[in-house]
Parts: sequence; structure tokens; C-alpha cells
Amino acid sequence: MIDQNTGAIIVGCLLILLTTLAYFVLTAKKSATTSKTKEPAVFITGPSKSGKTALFTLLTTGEVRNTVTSQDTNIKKNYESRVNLIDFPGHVKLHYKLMDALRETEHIKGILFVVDATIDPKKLSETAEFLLEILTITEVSKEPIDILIACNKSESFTARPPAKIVEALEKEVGLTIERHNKSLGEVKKRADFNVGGDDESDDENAGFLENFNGNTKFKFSMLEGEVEYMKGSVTKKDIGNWEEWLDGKVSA
Amino acid sequence: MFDQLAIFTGAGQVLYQYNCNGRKFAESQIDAFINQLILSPVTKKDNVNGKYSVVNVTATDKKASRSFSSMFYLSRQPELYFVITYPEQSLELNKEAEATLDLALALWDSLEIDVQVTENIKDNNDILVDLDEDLNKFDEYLKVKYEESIKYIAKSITKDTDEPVVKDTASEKNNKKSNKNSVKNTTNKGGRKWGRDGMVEDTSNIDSSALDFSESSKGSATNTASNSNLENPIDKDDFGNRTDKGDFLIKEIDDLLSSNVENKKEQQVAEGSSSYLNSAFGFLQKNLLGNKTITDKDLKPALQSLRKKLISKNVAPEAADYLTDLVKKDLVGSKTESWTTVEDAARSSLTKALTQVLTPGVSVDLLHEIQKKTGVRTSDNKKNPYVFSVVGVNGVGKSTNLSKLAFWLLQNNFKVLIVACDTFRSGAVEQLRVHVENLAQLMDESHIRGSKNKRGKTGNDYVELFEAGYGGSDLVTKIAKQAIKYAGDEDFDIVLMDTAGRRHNDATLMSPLKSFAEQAKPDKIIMVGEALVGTDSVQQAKNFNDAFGRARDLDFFIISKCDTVGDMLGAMVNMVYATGIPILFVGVGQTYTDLRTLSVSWAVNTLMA
Repeated sequence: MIDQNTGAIIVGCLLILLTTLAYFVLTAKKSATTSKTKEPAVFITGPSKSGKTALFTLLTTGEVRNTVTSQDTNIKKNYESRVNLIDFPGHVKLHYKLMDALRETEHIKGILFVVDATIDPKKLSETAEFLLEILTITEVSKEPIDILIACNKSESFTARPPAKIVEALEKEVGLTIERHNKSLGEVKKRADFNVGGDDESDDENAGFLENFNGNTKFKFSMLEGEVEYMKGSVTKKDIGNWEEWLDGKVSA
Repeated sequence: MFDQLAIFTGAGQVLYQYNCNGRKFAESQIDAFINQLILSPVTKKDNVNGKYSVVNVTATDKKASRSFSSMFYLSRQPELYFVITYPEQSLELNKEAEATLDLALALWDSLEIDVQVTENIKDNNDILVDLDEDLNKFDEYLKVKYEESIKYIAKSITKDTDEPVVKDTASEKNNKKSNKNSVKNTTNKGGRKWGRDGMVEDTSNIDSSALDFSESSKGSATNTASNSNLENPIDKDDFGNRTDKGDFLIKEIDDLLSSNVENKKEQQVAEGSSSYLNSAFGFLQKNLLGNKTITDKDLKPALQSLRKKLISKNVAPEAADYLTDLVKKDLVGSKTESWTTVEDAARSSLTKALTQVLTPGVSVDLLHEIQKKTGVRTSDNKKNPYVFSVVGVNGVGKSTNLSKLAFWLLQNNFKVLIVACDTFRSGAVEQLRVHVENLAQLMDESHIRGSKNKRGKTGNDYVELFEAGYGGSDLVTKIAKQAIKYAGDEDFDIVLMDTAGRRHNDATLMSPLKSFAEQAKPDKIIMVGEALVGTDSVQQAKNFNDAFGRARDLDFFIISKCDTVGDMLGAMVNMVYATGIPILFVGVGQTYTDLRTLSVSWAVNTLMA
């Protein structure tokens, strides 16, 4: 026969154990779904066919290889045993992957924005749109995020000097902001319906965009994060500049 | 002949590439294929035989040199794309592509390249580490095997001329095999030689010393190959002289392939017996701990509940199946994160799938495009107006949304010409006149309703109505052409054409759309679809998209009446699923300002809520 007291104590202990266990499980579950990625990361991004995956392979393996359009991210964990190096697909339909990652990664050490230097500066509007999309997220983050505009394919005969490209890009970003402010607002929430009139632009992105409303001309120097530009060539393995920049960011 | 064979990962790393015409491998062709794949993921459509999917890539822009077809197989775990491109779809080419793909997959399997690839991915290594040797072997084997099959085909063609016609290449192959057996009793062990003309030559009486160098190539080959050689000891005297290495390799490859089939069978038996062991722990992992490798079975209940939910939000069953299919493909074989259940994983995967479906494949910046076109003047110094035309089923709100669009454009300082191309419905022109009057008054308060402007038309300097009464469908194209010319002369930036509503499954009503699009050449064809419509939206979108012929597609959708459906936004998914064409605007109310840009995240969240 077991003493009744002992029985009660055992039951009590078991209860305590179970509740604590349940508590831990539940909290852990919650944090798993909501928490941000803690590991520091460097992102490689840019429009399609600019050479992101080729750069990624060159950085991680030291080889130049043929690549095809990416549909998914390339990830190198512990690049230089410090950060995660992630290469995002450039296709418009897949931009959401980058945007999600930008929001969910706590420490972004830097973004390598790869641009094809042989592209006609007049045709940079899509690139500018993409860059702006990134900026609307990075500029409202707690720590400023630096961006390197890596002008790839400098070995090509038709490559433009990086300063020219960045100047054109700056202008295009400005124009895009202007157009953005003019275009129709986005549907935000259900309350948006039936109210009539204009919706208040209370979202995070509008705050950044409105800074450039009206007469202020957009300049990269006005941004919180530092924007630099350098030329290089993946096929010629001429990426010393970029690696230096990367090293600086990674060790910072 | 096919063009190219490529094996690459989803992340864009090329594992293997082969241009069968001996030219330099052109990544751009594969890029075009991937682009097509991203824009409209293949599921059930266009399948030839269920085994492999076929994607037809049509040359749209000038850069893509020509159209081609591609057949592909997507393996999960590791995620690899096996793609073959060939010039066009024909019975013969399809068959050849299929056979080659079969061969490539079988070789890939038997060389067990997957094992190394998976290991590389797991170890955070570069994907190609330690693969060189295997890939070289794969390359060598594939080429040899491929050339052999080409010769069979070539032979079957020459044979056709002097033998009873045998159309089927496969049976032809069998015939020839039996032929060979009768010619040589030692076929299996003996060497075979194909002459340049593809005929089998008897080679049994030639010295075997020429074989020596093959030993070295065999030495580096896999154990399976040498094992099987031991099993059927070869009488060396039966080996023939070989014109090139190929002949010997073929046997080696065949052995490799057949031994692999046996291995697989054994593996399956072994797996069957051990699957019950972890079921209890598996339950915990599935519902609580996470870190579980998801199988088809685990996913089924989760997918069913998600599918039900989607359908309850007005998503058509067809589209819901497609979406759950995407989730299945995404998840089966993958591992859940710690502390996530299978349901959670399925939900987040579905969110991703929805996002990807709804996100436009090309960036649409209307203002930019309008500025670009209207900024350039024609040779006789006239304006180049930007032309929109609005189509849709009856009563979905074509005229209303056209007016909303006009209001937004007017606010951006464009001059707008509204054209009444609905010449069927009584009152359609008058309705537009009221809209133009309203808009004119909004732009200029001094505008007196009912007054004519200086050109004698309804409206004022900013917005004007172009009308020509009622009549048949030939009148519609006439009005459209006149209106565009008029807009150019009178310095309008934008032409907005309202068309008659039409039932999407009535061919006599739909067919005039094609000639309308060809004659009027609108820059953007907008289809207005209502959020209220249910499953029929799939068919509506499809039929309207097809109505303009092969050369022209819809450009985007406006989904109207979103304020009337609450969170049942399924129609959006249906329409985009059916056509791959993006939604640009949504109508969210009754006034001119109630037009909004679609926010994909908003739509996805509403659907998933």
C-alpha cells in the first residue's frame, strides 16, 4: 500500500513537470514561427541575367561556371566562417523571396546588388524599380544596411563606366518614386472598403517614399545605408574590389 | 535530333550540359525555358504521356531567336531539372526526346550521382564537389548510348525503303535485336560493330588484342560493371575489333542499367519492412516536435483541409488542386523545422505558392509606359496615343472601371478620349456620356453639364467622348480606328475603349474580338472580372484570353466588386491560375476613387485568414 500523501506528492510533481513541459513546448513553437533569423547574412541580388549565381559560385568555389536562370536561392552557410551568403533569383515573379528574407533577417551585413554594365542606361527602369523595392525595406530597418552596386561584365566591349550606370540608376529611382507617388494606392485592409476617399498612407514604405515627394531630388547619398559602386567581372575573375568590400562588411 | 540536354538545380547551378549538334551550349535557350516555367508552372496541361512535362516556348521578343519545345523531368531530393530542348513538337521528336530523357535518368540513377549531390548539399559544400569523375562517365555513357539510338533510327529509315514499312521505331529495335540473334549466336558476349551506314557487321573472327586499352577504361568503371562481367565470363575470342570505344561501352552501360533495376527492387523490399518502426515517434514529430521528413501520407489530411478552405473562399476546385499540388511538390521529402507541425509547414508553403501565383511575372508600370509612348511623336508630328481597351462579360463593371481608370489618368494630367465601342446595348453610349460629363465636371468645375466642347463633342478639354451610335460589329472596328486617328490629331494622350459585354462561351460574340484587336491594336487589353463570380471565372479568363488568337493575350485584369465579397477573393486566384496574366487593379467601391493597385500580400493574407 502506498501512503496517500506520497501518492498526492507524486501526482503533484508530475503535474508540475507536465505543465512546464507544455509551457516550453508552446513558447518554443510560437517563437519558431514568429522570430527572425538571427544569423548574420550577406545577400546577392539584382535583375535577371546580371551574373549573380556566377558570382556566388566564384566566391564560394573560386571557379567560373556556366549557370542558368535561378528559381531558388543559393545558400552558403558560414561563408568565411562568419556569415551566410545567399544568392536570390532575379526573376520578377520571385522577388518575394528576397523581400521576405529582408524582413526576416535580423543582421544583414550588406547587399551586393549586381548590375549588368552592358545594359543601355536608358533601359534601367526595371532595375531601378527593383532597387527601390529593396530600399523601401532596408531603409526602415533598425540598422542601416549598406549596398554595393556591383557593375558586372566590365570585360565586355560595350560595358559602361560604373559612375555612369549609377548616375542613370539614381535618376531612374527618382522617377520611379515620382511615379509611385502618383499611382493608385494599394489595397491595405478590409477597412479600406466602403470608406470612400483616400486612404491614409500609414504603412512603413510610404514613410520612406514621401521623403522624396515634391522637389527633393533623389540621391543615394540621402539614404541611411551607404551605397557604393564598383566595377568587376566575374568571367575574368576580376572581383577583388567586391571581395574587399565584402570582407569589410563581414568583419564589421 | 534534339537540340540540347541540360541537368541543373533549381538554384541555377548547371551539373551537365550537352549540345547534340556539336555547337557551343547555349544557356539562353535554357533560360528561356526556365522563364516560361516560372511564368506559367506546368501541372496538368500539355502533358504528352504523363511521364514528362512538355513546355512550348514561343519566341516573343526579338532576342529569343526562335520557338522551341522542351521536355523536362523534375526530380525531388535533390531538386534537379532534366531538360531536353528540341525544335518543335512532332511525334518522332517527342519520342526521341522521351527516350533520351529515359536514358539520361536511368544512367543518372545507376551512376548514383544523386547520392553525392545530396551529400554535398547536406555538408554545405559546393554542389559539384567530387562529381567530376561521375559526370565525365555520365557524359561518356550518354553520348555513346545516344549515338547508338540515333543509328537505330537512321537504320530504320533506310530499311523502310526496301522492307515492309515498320513505323514504330521501338518494335523496329526489337526486330533488329532478334535479327542479330539469328545472325550471331553469341550476341550477348560478342562484340558488335556498327558500320558508318548503321549496319551490323560480323566481327567475330578478329583478334582480341585490340581490346587491351578497354581494360583501363573498365578499371575506373564501377564495381557493378566488373561484377557483371564476372558473372557472364566473356570469351575473348568472340570480341571483335572495334572502330571506337563505343561498342564496348554499350555493353558495360547495359549491364550497369540492368543491375541498377535489381538493386532498386531489393531496396524497396527492405524499406517496406522497416517503415513501421518509427511510427510512434513519427506521430510526435508530426504534431509537436517538428524535424520530421514529410511523406505523402502525412501531408494528405493537411492538404485536404487547406483545399477545403480554399474552396470555401471561392477558389475553383481546379485551381485549389493545382495549389495543393504545388505544396505537395514543395514539401514531400523535405524536413519540417523544429517545433513546427506538418500543418504549419503546409500552410506556409501554400502562402508561398499563392504569392508566387498572384505576383505579376513582368513589372507593370503603366505611367512609365504611357510616358514612353506618348513622349514620342509620329513622323507628321502627331501625338501617339496610348490605347486601352476593356473587355469582359456582361455586367461586370467594364464602363464603371473604365471611368475609374480615366479619373486616375486625368489626375495625372493626361488628356483622355473615351470611345463608345459598345454599339449593341441600348443606353451604353448614353451611360458613357454621363460618365464623361461627371469626369469633366470633376476636372473643371465651371463645366456645364450637357454642353458641347469646341469640337462639338461631349466633355471638355481634358476628357471627351467619341461616339458613333449603334450598329453591327464592323462598326466597332471602324469607330476604334477613327477614334485613334482623332486622338492623334487632337493631342489626346490616352484612348480608352469600352466594348460590349459578351458571354465568354458564345463563339459568335467572341470571334469579333480578334479582328478588333488586330485592327485597333490596343496597347493594353484589360479584362474586367468580378470577384462575385465563382468557379466560372477560370473559363471566363481562359476564353477571353484565347479570343485574341495566338499572337495576342490579355494584358491584365481588373477585379471589380471586391467590396462585395468580404474575404472570398477566390476569383482572383482562379483568373490568374487560368491564364498566368496578372491582376493590376481591384475595384473596392462605388466612386471614381475606389480603384486600388492589388497588393499581393494583402490578397494572400485575406485568403489564408
